[in-house]
Amino acid sequence: MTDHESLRFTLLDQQLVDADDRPVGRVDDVLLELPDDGGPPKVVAVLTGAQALGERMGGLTGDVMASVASRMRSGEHRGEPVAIPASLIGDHADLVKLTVALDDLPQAAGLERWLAHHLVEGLPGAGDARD
Amino acid sequence: MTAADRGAVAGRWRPVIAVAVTAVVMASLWFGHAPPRSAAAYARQAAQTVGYLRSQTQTARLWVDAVATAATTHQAASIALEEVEADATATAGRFAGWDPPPGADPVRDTVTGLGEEVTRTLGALRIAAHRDQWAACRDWRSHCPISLSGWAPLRTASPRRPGHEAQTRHAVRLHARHPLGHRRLHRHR
Amino acid sequence: MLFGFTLGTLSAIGGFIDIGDLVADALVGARFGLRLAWVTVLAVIGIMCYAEMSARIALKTRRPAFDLARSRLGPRYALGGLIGSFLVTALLVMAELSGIALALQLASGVHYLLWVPIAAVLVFIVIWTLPFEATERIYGLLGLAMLVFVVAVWHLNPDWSRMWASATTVAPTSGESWPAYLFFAITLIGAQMTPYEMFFFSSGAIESRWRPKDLTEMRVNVIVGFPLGGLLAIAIQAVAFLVFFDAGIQVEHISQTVLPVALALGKVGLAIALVGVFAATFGATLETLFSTGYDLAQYFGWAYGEVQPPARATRFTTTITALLLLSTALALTTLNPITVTIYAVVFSSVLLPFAFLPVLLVGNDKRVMGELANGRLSNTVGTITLLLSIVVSAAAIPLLILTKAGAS
Repeated sequence: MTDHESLRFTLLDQQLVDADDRPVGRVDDVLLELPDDGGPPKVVAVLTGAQALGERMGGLTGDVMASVASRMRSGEHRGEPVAIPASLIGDHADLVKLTVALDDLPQAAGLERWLAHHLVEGLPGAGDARD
Repeated sequence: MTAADRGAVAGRWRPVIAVAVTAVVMASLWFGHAPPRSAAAYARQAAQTVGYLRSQTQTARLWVDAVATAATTHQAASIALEEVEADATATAGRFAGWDPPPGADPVRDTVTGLGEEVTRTLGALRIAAHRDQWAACRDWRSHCPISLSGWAPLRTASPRRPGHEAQTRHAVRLHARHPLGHRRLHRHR
Repeated sequence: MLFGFTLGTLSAIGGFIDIGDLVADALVGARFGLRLAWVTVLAVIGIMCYAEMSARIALKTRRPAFDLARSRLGPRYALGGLIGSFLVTALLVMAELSGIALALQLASGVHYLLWVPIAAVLVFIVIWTLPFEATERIYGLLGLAMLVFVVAVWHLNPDWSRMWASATTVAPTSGESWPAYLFFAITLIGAQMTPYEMFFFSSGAIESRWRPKDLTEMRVNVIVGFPLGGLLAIAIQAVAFLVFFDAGIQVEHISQTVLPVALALGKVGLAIALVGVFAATFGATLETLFSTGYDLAQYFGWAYGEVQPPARATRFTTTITALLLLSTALALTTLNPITVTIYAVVFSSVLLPFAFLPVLLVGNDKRVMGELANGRLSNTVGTITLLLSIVVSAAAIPLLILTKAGAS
């Protein structure tokens, strides 16, 4: 990324899709690193998910959103927002396209997977492709 | 302004907004649902109640006519007659629940009397409909408690009209056509 | 291609009417005659402008309107809009679901509360099993049964000069106050200029995979479909006027909405009208459910859509199902659906400017839209509509309180 791009317009709140054009989420926040040599901040990772968004928005709504979302994560990443390393970001002119498939991002779209496994897949007709 | 500053500003305004919203809600409940207190308001409500009762009776008449001319199914007409009876009961009950201001007792008596007649008649209609006794429903038209001719559309007594006091004292003069008597009922303007 | 045109336009006509129209138009016709018909005309012009704009945005960017609200105006603004529209839509879905049940009640004689869960199950089955375009077409076409109201106007042998005089008078009928007149004007606006129609139209454009080359087809749908839908709304007002006004009847039930058609056209007319009511409310239930699901999914960036199988868009599917369950529960509390409808459309009118603003902004953005950006006509009509919607939004709640929801 060059330092003349506006994060606000090209990255933040844009739709994230994986290598197969499947939606992953939105860029809810951005993790920046300030290099020691005083240069411009570098984007290290994009944060996605309700927890990242809640922490970014702040205020009462943001806090509620973040705390609900953090409780819904399990495992060793509990309490941290979902981070996708910047190295996985490909073309970001329109949508932010990742260079990997959703299945290679186990930490993202957790709710989607959980619901798919526990709720939707059990019902008849779930896997029918329509149209 | 950082998010923390924005949060602080919003935090100061939050109680003000909460109080304002509560005040508006309470005011609307007070003005919207409190019973009428003045004679003028009571007369207005009386007029409105009679208007509703008339509307419900007219609706019932239209449905009975529709059955007579085979313009509707019996199921639809039965449902509609149940609905108007429920409406009339609710309307009459709501009015009866309000205390009349001093001097308005005659108004209350006439309107509640009318309400009772209407609900009784519409109830009989509903039962006849459920028993498929549609001929009996047609006979009802001649016993209808609210006159069906010379209808003057609903006019509520407006405080801005001249002669307001005189109007509201006699705002609702009702004569009911009763199967046993011949008092005719119509809304007075 | 001509077949596609016709089908799309016809479903736009049939899809215009929902429970809000069925209640508000009949109520207004009985109380004010055709003196609020001008509101329908304005509402049709406004919704045409914004539906075309949001669909054009969808054609160009391949992203639907609400998606862009968050990207352009930030998550806070979009979240406000999301929560507001979610709450209003929950009420609206409950009202539409009750509308299905009321139509079935009138047809069968069985109490409507028994039909509510059955209607909910039917809706769920349709969502789960039928593809998007098929459902849209079916309910749009069945909704054409509402044309029976136009036929009924003719059969009632109206005094056309009296109808014209009523339609051209912009004032309350004698005995009615200006606040009540204006309150019902706002109710009509809320019932006829619904944001969900706009978002649904644009999301539908994506689902049907429209591209800029489909611009003409989209515009034909808009220009022919919406005005004819408005005509249906005016027909409902007219028959209510012709049958109820002189008798002093106030409309409080769907049975009264269809009664004039029965009186004019007999049992056949009544049956067709009930089919129309069923189709209109069923289609509207689907539309409002999907529109809310889309809004939520687009806000958080989830996968969504009817095109993907449910297993691949689980959060979207779960949201819709949860909303359907919530609305069914609400309907079963025996809340009066007519009252809920009136409140839902009034609150919906409060949200109008928030729905229109992002669409107008993005439509004007040449960087995003290129040669498809708003022309002068779109901008003029769009800005006027937006300003009017701000006035409506500000006046809605005060008038609701002042007139006690139209009771006085």
